[in-house]
Parts: sequence; structure tokens; C-alpha cells
Amino acid sequence: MRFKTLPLQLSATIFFALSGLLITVNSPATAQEIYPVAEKGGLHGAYVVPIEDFNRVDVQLIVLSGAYDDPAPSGTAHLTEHLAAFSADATILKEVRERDLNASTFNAATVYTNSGSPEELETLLRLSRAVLDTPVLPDDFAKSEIDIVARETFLRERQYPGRWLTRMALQNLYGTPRGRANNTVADLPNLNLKAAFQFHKDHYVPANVTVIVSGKIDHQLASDLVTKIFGDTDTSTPPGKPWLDHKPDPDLRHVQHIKTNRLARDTLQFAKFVDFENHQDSFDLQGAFFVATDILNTRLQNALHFQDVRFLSVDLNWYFAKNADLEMTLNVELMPGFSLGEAHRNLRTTLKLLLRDPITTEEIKRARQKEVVQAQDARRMPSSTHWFLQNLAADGYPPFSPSIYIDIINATTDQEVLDFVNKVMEPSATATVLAKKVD
Amino acid sequence: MMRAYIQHAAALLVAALCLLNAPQVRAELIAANSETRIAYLTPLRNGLSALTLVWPMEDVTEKRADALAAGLLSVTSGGTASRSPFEIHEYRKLNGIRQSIATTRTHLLFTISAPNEVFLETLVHLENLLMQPTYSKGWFDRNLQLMHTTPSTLTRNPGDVLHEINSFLDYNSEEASPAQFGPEFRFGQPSQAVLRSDDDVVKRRVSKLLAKLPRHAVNLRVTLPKWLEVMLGRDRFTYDLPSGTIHFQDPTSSEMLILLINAATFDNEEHIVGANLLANHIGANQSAEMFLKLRQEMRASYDPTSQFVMTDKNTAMIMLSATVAADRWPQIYASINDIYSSVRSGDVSIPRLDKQHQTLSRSFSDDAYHNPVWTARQYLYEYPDGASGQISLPIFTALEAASTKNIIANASSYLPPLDDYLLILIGGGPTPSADLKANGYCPLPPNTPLKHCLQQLRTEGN
Repeated sequence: MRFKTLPLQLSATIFFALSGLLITVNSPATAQEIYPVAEKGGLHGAYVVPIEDFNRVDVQLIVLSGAYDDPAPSGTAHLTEHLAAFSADATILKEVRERDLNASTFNAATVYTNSGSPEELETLLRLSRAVLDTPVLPDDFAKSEIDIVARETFLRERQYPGRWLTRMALQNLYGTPRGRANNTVADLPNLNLKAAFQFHKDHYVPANVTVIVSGKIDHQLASDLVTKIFGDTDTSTPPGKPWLDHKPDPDLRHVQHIKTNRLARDTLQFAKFVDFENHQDSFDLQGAFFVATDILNTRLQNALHFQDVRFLSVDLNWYFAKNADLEMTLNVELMPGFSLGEAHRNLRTTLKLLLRDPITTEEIKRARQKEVVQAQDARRMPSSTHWFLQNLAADGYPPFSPSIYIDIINATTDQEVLDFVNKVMEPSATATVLAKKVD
Repeated sequence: MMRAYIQHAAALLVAALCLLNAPQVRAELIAANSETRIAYLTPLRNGLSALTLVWPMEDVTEKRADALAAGLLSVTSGGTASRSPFEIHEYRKLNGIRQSIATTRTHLLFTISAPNEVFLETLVHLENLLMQPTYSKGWFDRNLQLMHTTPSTLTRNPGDVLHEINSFLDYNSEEASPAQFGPEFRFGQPSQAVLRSDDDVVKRRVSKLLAKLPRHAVNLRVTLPKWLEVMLGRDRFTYDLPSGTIHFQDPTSSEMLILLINAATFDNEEHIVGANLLANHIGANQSAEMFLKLRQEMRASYDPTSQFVMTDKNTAMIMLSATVAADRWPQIYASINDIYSSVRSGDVSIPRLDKQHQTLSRSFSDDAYHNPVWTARQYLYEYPDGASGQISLPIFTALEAASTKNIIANASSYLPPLDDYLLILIGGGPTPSADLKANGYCPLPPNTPLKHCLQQLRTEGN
């Protein structure tokens, strides 16, 4: 699931005390060793990460399938996530939760996080283990969960219109509403339990699941508990990933104009696909990916945000798939009076000239340092540490901790970074949506 | 007539002060008229140090508050004599520096944090930002645009509704003049500073920084007698929301956001903690009543929730919300009523409220040691004019001492009656019944901020 999100706004933000309280239990600084669990049954992977600074423990159960793996209808992986979570709760918990369950369906993975105090580890592992059992829920409850998923989908669609624009751009890029694109809203009437239970049967198999235990734990005791709870999981066959073979026409340059009353401002959505055709696997490109995208983000940020105050906000996302396919999406909101046409021309020129000035050794050094600082910062918060741990693990790779990430960044050569940057900026398939706000 | 005369005289005094300052600095200087009072709070526990600078911001309009925040954002990001905006941005990223701007009802806050090992250097950086800002008009205009909240009728996000309500409560709704604010601001000596570091070198450097910041040329602290403030209308900031119903009807929508909100004033911290725990029991998380009943039993909503947001020492907003299928909203609204009334009548399990107590205590502790902005707010609620001697925050003591049994017994005095809540409906479905219109009703036109109806209901209520 390697991806990287960079909101290209100034890092100063306005808080009005209304967005909820930040909950952080954290401390800095110690290196985080990652211990593979040897006796893990049929699981794809199991790891223990002792973090003394946090007086808590977290169990992340990562199903290596997500929204990209949706059969028709889109939203099936999401519905399955809901059903499995509530079934696990009903099976294991005898009273209401003291700490909320956090479960999310991402593009290529579904992640369940159960958190608690260190002495609760066994219960947390049992809750995680129960996610793999066929969901057992009262019929009416299971059926009506479809309505809950619909409510959630409508809610997200309204609150984050960027999701809708991104979906539109990706459908145009891949020429399909399936796989890496999706058809979530249009498919809502077709969501059904049969597809969800089949999805669970096919994808929630031990060979398609990684478990990561992190927190204030003794690694041997935690490993023994993982073995106790997951050691009996059977050998299984992981599901296929047909969407990895679905690639857009390299010559595609799709542009769509729309008018909408769903946006606060005129908005430009851009998507680009890059095929690293000489690589079958992205693992060895990890360091280059993160340093190179920092350089590209910085140059784009400079051109679109710092040099031109007509771009109100610039948001960039990178998704680097397991098979080394790269997808970049860019969302920019425009200041009043700045036309979509001019913004589009400006963006095209920016992308064309982005590498006109050669990348310097000093520039790579700065990018590397920023990545290191970001990783050090992540160690101060459990949620950021979890993000690091699940980022690569969600592609089936061993997890990175912030300290291991820093080692990899420092081991990446300048030439590897340059090669990656040059490849990303070669002409390839793109799709653009120019969205005009109307009342 | 007397009131008009005094207002006129006060306006002349303000104008005279402005004229005195005008030749010395072209930009508007935001600064205190007295020495900065520095509070040293317990260091953070995550390897970071932080400094919050506080400028008073009383009796301002929303437009003025937005301009001040945009000005502060511009000063701290828009370039200096030696660094471009891009170079400043890069510098922050290379060193792990974060900064944020926040407001309370009476203060504008700027917080900068960085790893301990670079914090001293960060203070030098901050000094350069404050002393040598060179931002452009375009830079300010964009920041001002960022301050404009997307109308909550567009996003239908409870947080955005809260934001609009908060602005209505916090700022003077009367535009004194059509004046344009900004773009040129400078931020001089703050009235207060809150430091989260126990490094003596850092403490000395903070004092040095504060001493360098400019003050107003006329060192005059104007404190008006209470009767004059009343005559000038400065007592119009009542912390009070009207009751009644605001309805934005969108016949195309399959969803309806139901939102109940009250701006509550409490006698003391014990009552605040009691109301906070009861509100959390109603809807703050997966063990709360709204989640268990509206989502798990009725299968009616994905996001039923409550929020309790402290806004000052004795005030808070209590909000209950759920997004539901448009045609079912009256039924779900009735259920929210039942849940609230039941909790307010004291029908609460002690073990479940104990869990909420543990969760809230954990949250307070985490924020106190890791979130400098949250802590600075709590400090300012207790010490709006600065502290001397030992600093203590009674809200923490009250939380620690809270007895869930007593809270349940006093639930009806801690939580306001439901009739005192304002109901906001945004979306599709049937129009509200006559009963829901009885306390006041305002249909909100399209593309109109909530304050249109808030003002109308307040006027009708008066």
C-alpha cells in the first residue's frame, strides 16, 4: 500500500478548538526493533514491535485486500469490513467497548486496530483473530448494515468532494469503474450480503493476513501470545490481484469539463499513471520512491503554491503498488478569478519544465533529511508509528518502523533517486477533470 | 443620546491613538500595552518544546478576526528580509518545526513547537519572522481566503456547523464600519506567553525575544469602567444561543443532518466535568447511548455523536448530531430526545459512566503533556490576564475528584433542558412539525451562512 500524502498548504493551520482533541500518548526516541513471529500458523506475516515509550499496546490485523479487490459491486470490501468487525466484537466482548475499534478499508488492504493497556493484549489478539472467522450476526443486523454503509458512503461523499473528483479522474484514467477506480456511489443499490460473505471467504484467509503487535510489551511474551492465538491458523491460498494487470493506455491524455454545485471553489483534479515496466516488484525501490517523491513534491509545491498565489490549495497523493505501478493524483483549488483553463495550462507547463533545472546533490540531501525528520517525528505518536508499520506491511512486505525507515532512506543512492525521478516525469497516461463551481 | 455621545467620544479617542501611531509604522501593529506575562508550564513529554504567544482580541467582528488570523499566518509564513516563503517552509520541514494559529473568545494564539535540540534555533527563526515580515498582498489575500469556512450547508459536517456557531458566539455581529482590514500587519509584544520547556537557556532566549518585539508608541492601558463598557455596548457578547429550529431544505438530498446544540454556562468546574461526562455518555464513542441505540439497534445512522467543547472557564457547547435517511428523520429526532431526556433524568449506569470518566481522564492527561495548544487554551480560560505564583487548573482537580454517583444524581442540573437547545436540520425529508416551530423557526435560504438565522432567532427571542 506504499503511499504518501502531502497537503501542499502551509503547515500553519487554524484551530478553532472544534475539531476534537488530539489524543497522543507518546514519547520520542528509542529505536524500534521488529521481531518476526516464528510460529505464526498459516498467517502471511506476524511481527512484534516493542515500544517502551508508549504505555499501551496495539494490535493491527491487516487483510491484504481492499477496495481495489472489490468485485462488482464496489463497496463490497467495505461492507465486509463492517460485518467482520461487529461479528468479532459480539463473539469476544461481553460488554460495550472501553476503547473504540478502528477499522478502515484502504485501496489494497483492510486494517483493524484494537488498542488497550499492555495487560489486555490477549483479549486484543482474540478480538483480532475473530475477524478471520466467518461473520456471525443476526440476519436483520447484517442486512441492515448495508444501510449503514450507504449512510457512511453518502456522508463521506458530501464531506470530502475530493473523493468524488478523484474517482472520476481514475475512472477516466483506467477506462473502467472497477479495480483501481471504483463506482462506489452508483453501486450502492447493488450492495449485498452474498458478495460480502464471499469476499470474506476469499480474502480473509490466513495467507492473506499480517498481524503486527506494537507497544509496551516483552517481545518474547508477545510472540508467544501471537502463537497461542494464531498458531492454529491453516495453510491457505491467497486470492489473486487482477487489478495489478490492468494498466491504462500510455498515450491517454483525457480531459473532462464538469459543472457542479458540490464544491466550494473551482477545482482541478489530475491523475497520472507510471509503469515501471522493468520492475516486477517495488520493494527495492522503496527508498528511491520516498526521496524522489519528496523532491517532486517540493518542486511542484514551489511552482504551484509559492510562486503563484492564485492556487489556493495543492494536495498531492502518491500510490506505489506492489508491482511497481505508480499513480499520482493532484487536487488544486483555485482562488476566485483564476480560470480553470489558465490553471490547467499552468499545471501542464509546470510538469513539462519540472526537471529543466537539474536535480542537485544538495537537493537530494535535503529531501533525505526531510524524510528522516518526518520519521523521527512519527515516533512521537502511536498513530503515526502505526501508519509506518502498516504502510509496507499492507502490500505483504515486512513492516518498516520509523527507525528502519531512516536506515533505508540513508542507504538509498543519489543515482537511484535520479533514475526514479526521471522515470516518473516521462510522458505517460494522464486524466484531468476541470470542475467549475456553480450555485 | 448620552450613549451616542460616549460612543462618539470613544471613537475619537481611538482615532487619536491611531494617528499617534500612524507615522511610526505603516503596518497595523498588534501588540499589548504592557509587559508580557510569561507562564512556564510543565515540559512536554514527547521530546518537543513549545512556545505560545498570546495577543488580546476582544470585541472584534468575524471579519476582523479572520483578517488578524490571516495576518498572523502571513507574518509567520510569507517571507522575511533574508528568506523567501518557500525557504521558510523548507526550513521548517528540515527541522521538524510545527506552528499553528488558534483563537479563543478573547485571544489570538500562535504556537510554535520543535524538537528540544533545535528549539533554541527555532526561537531565532521566530524572531526573524516577527521582526522582518515581508509578505505580499497576494499572500495575505490567499490566507484570508483560507480563513473563510465552507458553508456547513454544503459539507453538512457537524464540525463545520460548530465552527459557524462558534464564530457567531465569539465575534461581534455588528459591523462597526465597512472597513477593509489588512493586508499589512505586524505582531509585536504579546500580552502573554506560555512556554513548555525547562531549559534555562531557552527561558532566557524567550525573554530576549519578547523584549525585542515592538510595543505601541503610547504605553497606555485603557481600562474602561464597567458602566462605560455597558454604554458602549461591550456587554453585547452574551454567551447564549437562541432556541428554535433552523431548517435548510434540500429536496434533492436522501440524507438529513439532525443537530442539537446549546451554549451552556456552568457554575463551576465540578458542573462542567459532570456535564462533559454525561454528554460523553450520550454520544461520544462506541460505548455511548447514541451509538448503541441509533446505530446498533435502530440501524439509523453511521455517525451519531455528541461533542462537548469547552470555550471558556465556565462555558461550553454541547452538541448532539446524526446524519440519517431523510424520510426517517422525525423518528430519529424523537429517539435522540428520548436518549437525552433519559440521561438527564439520571437513568445512567454507574459502571458505564466510570468508563467514560477513565476515557476522559486519559484524554486530558494525553493532551496536557503532548498538546501545547490545548494546554495553552486551558491556561487562558483560567488566567485570561496572566498568572502570578503557582499555576493550577481546577478543571483537572475537578475531573480527578469527580464522583459518577453524584453526577448521575445531579444530571438534571448539569445538563440543560432539551427545550433550550437549538435544532439545526440540513438536508431532505419532511418539513418540521408545528411543535418544532413553536420556539422559533427560520428556513435558511441557499448559499447563506447560519448566522442569518441565528441572528433572526435571537432577535425574535428577545
